[in-house]
Amino acid sequence: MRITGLIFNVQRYCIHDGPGIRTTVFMKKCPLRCLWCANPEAIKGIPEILYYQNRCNKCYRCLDACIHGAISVPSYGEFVTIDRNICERCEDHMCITSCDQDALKLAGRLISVQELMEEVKKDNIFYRNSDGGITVSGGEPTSQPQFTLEFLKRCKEEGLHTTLDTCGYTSWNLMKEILKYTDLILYDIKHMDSTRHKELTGVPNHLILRNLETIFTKTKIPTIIRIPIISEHNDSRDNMEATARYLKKIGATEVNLLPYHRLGIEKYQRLGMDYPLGTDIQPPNETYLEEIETIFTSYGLNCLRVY
Amino acid sequence: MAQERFSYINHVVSRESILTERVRRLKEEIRRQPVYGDWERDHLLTEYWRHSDNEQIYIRRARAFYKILTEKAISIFDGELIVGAPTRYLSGSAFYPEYGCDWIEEEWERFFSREADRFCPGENNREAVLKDIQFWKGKSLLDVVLPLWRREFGNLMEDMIEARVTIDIKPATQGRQIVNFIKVLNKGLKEIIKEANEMKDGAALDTAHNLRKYYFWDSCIIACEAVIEFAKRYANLAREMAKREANELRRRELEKIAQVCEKVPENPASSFHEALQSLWFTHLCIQIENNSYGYSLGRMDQYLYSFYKRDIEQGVITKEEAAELLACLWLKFSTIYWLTKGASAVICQTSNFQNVTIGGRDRDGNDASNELSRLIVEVDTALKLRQPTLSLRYHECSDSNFLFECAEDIATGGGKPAIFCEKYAYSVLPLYGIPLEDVIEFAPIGCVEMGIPGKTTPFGGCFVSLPHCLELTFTNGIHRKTGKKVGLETGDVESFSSFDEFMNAFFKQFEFVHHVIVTCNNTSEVAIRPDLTPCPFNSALIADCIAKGQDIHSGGGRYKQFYSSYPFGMVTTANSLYVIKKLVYEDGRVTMSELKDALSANFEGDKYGRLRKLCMDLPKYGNDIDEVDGIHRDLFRRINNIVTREKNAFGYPMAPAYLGITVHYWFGASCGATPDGRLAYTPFADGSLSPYPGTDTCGPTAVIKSATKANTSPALATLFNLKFYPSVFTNREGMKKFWYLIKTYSDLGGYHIQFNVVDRDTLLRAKEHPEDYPDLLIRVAGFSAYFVDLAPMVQDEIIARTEHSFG
Repeated sequence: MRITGLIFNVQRYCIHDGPGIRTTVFMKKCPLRCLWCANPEAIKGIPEILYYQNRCNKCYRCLDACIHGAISVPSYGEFVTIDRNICERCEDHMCITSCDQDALKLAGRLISVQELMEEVKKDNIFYRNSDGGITVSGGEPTSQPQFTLEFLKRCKEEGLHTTLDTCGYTSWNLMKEILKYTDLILYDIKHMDSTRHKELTGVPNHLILRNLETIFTKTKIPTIIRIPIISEHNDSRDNMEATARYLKKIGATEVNLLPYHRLGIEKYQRLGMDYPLGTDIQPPNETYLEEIETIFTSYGLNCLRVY
Repeated sequence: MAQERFSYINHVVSRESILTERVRRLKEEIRRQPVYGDWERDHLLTEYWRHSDNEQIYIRRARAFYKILTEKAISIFDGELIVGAPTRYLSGSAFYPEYGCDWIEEEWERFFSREADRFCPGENNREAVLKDIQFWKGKSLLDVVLPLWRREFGNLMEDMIEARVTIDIKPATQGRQIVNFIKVLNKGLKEIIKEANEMKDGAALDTAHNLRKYYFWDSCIIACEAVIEFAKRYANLAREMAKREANELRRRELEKIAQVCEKVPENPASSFHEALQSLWFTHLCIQIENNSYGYSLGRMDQYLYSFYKRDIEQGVITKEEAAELLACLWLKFSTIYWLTKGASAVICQTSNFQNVTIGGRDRDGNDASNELSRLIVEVDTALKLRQPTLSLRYHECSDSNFLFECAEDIATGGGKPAIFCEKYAYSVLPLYGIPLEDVIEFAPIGCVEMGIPGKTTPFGGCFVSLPHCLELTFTNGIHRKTGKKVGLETGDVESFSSFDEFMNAFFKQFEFVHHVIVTCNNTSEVAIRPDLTPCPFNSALIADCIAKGQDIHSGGGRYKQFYSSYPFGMVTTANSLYVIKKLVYEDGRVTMSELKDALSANFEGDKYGRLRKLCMDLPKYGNDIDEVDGIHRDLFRRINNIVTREKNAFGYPMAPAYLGITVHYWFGASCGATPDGRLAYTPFADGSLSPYPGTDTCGPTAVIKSATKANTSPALATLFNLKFYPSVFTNREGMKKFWYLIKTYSDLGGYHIQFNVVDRDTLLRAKEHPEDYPDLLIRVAGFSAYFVDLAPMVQDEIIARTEHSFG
């Protein structure tokens, strides 16, 4: 059976998502709606148009190119608007080829496991020299369980080191299968309080925590906990203490802090979305990050910052 | 502002012991004082020339050199420990009218007002200068060579220069060489004089040929004595200054300088200080004799190490004192300039390519890096000067801490050190018949070319612009901008029925242009130079000139097989050829006639604008895509074949070398639109393996894969610039991953790679002037983006991130 997946990027020379030099496959679709999401183009399970206003020269050629009538212009001289509901029915995206300025781009492409293997194998020699490998990220890789499973399986057949970057929000039965072909897990913890977790990500945290506990009790796969540090949302001392205490209890040893950044903020505008977090939130300051690190290390956890 | 050091690296000395108050003051002084264009050397030369008509040319050049070194004004500047300057002033250059004088007259005013390489006129008397220039008219090398070029090719060479199919380098001797510093430092110039004297004493004077040798040896002796005399003048000056010096500390320093200059370079150096001073006098006087660019220093950490080690072990100096002395030498490299025509000035961008090599292996195959190698990197990192150029010979057994220190230097920007993978050199140099014991001593000279220290004849380089040859294929031999015919009539481009036919026409254009340039270069190289501008001092320091009794220009040097052609614009050409192959011949989406018209219209207008998008949307070199990388690969193979079919002035095949310096701007400015979508008169891709800006969207591993597919052997050089972000080096892990990247480049057969770190200043400028940085692709936080696409707030955040990459 030819299994295909929807991905939005294959990024080579990733050096922050696991050991050595890696290629990270970014999958589309995610069950969470984190307010700070840096990859909003990864959320939906369909290809989407990104509109770069700064490149648009308002030639309006795309208006004619779109036979579905999804693109319109409020009045002459203004930027175009894309009706996403109409656009989502499209398969050929004539608007993109009509644009001279590269102002329209497609996020998301269908790819077979075989094709993806060919792509990631291009950096084999770099993996070999650096003890690197493949990372699947997203989006949420377990949202495309069949594809992720088959891809990781193929990677293991090729002798490649595999890393799963996951939010953990999936059924254990699916997760269990995928983990058979996983050498390292990067596991996100966003908040210890389930109500707050739901406010921040759209889902409660029970399933996530339970899966994590199962990983530690039922498997021996090295697991690094990744905690996004979002000022005023999840970075309270209480929550950090609670997280550290919990991690200590379940037997975790490695923690990565991911300080909040706004580098993905443009993508919201390009997708015609509002930035849910608002622009007031600042990246956490250095002193406070050091304090957080102290909290984790005081629980005997190795704590590293990852940008 | 000096950046913080990486805390996880061990250093030999603290940053403060390099940037002492003296060093800071000297650096500031060099920055503050203007760079002078000084006629003094040229006037002394002219004076000598006026009254020496009957002298044999070797003797005449040597005596003129003697006059210059014994009569030119000298100074010791405040705080200096290493002394000797190219002119009366702290920084500057002479003009060297014997190589060509019309350009000096034409550009006299412009030297002092032009944008690049601006010089300060100093105390030159304009009338006297013009009088001297008058004297050289009809006598200078260029005046003599022009009629020969014209006899061979009419005005073709000059038209090519005007069309910028090639480069009009001021016809000085190419400085691309490393003289035998090891001999000067360990034996002294007196040993060379002794050798020349022995040869001279035994010389037969029975034939014109033998008499010429006799004169040659004599000229070497005079030239070496001139340099010794020059050093002794500094000794006297230091002694005089010491007598008048009120500050006790400085007085002792001056007395020390006097002692050192009294001894070297005449005698062997016996301390680190003497070795550095001996090296500097030698390097400086080579350039006073014959100013050019690319005079390089070779494996400095190797030949200076015994002096350093002995002094440290015997407690003669401390590591800190050694660092300060080294810093003083480093500052000196920044005071030497190459004063050239405006055109060449643009090429070099005030760089004169004094290349220092560190690292590599020793004769037993072991890692040769030592404490001095590390100290050199530390000095270079702390000083952040444009010169010297620093090169690392990389191999798998290189010491990790040493490599980390090199990366620390790279992270501060400025592209230093450039990394040279030894493996490539070991595979290529034997192809030129270089024996293994010399291969192992190789060092980059000038920019990126390989040379054998002390044994390679300085070689002339013939630049040929490939995108221009592509243009000539479209125009049937006519250069678009000047309208002059500089190529062949290869036929109407629309008549080619296959891509192969097109390629053949293109290579014919290249072969023709290349032939003209090489022939003209050979003419000036051997027909003219030996009899107009022999260089006895330089020759005395290159094996086997003294043994053979021959000047370097007459073939005295041991290795003469490195005369090079520099085909340029590989990537722009490969991308263009791929477009032609795909759009015109394979897919038939565009006719040759449409493409031709679009190019001559510079893609202007709606129709051609859309055609340009088709061209630009096709895959480009640098993304690890075989079908386009394959064209680039094949281009090397076929160009190598054409280049090596030509012979250099000594009968050896021309050697291909793919470098570039900054010629991509200069060449690009005279080349019409190219099929890759590049607009007319804009720069080409730089170097020979660097992707066209903004087209490499798959990151460094993909670029490295593309680059190492190229069929470069037996090229003596390739040039590969890669953009990088200092954040990579934040911690030891990131640092290791950086070196894994280099290891893989070496494994895959790469030669040179150098990193342009996208630093904070670049990002700030890009934020201010987005129009100048449309191609600045940044890679942070797991994704790539064009910097100019980002909102100011996000740009600020990225700028802020570059700050905490150190510490």
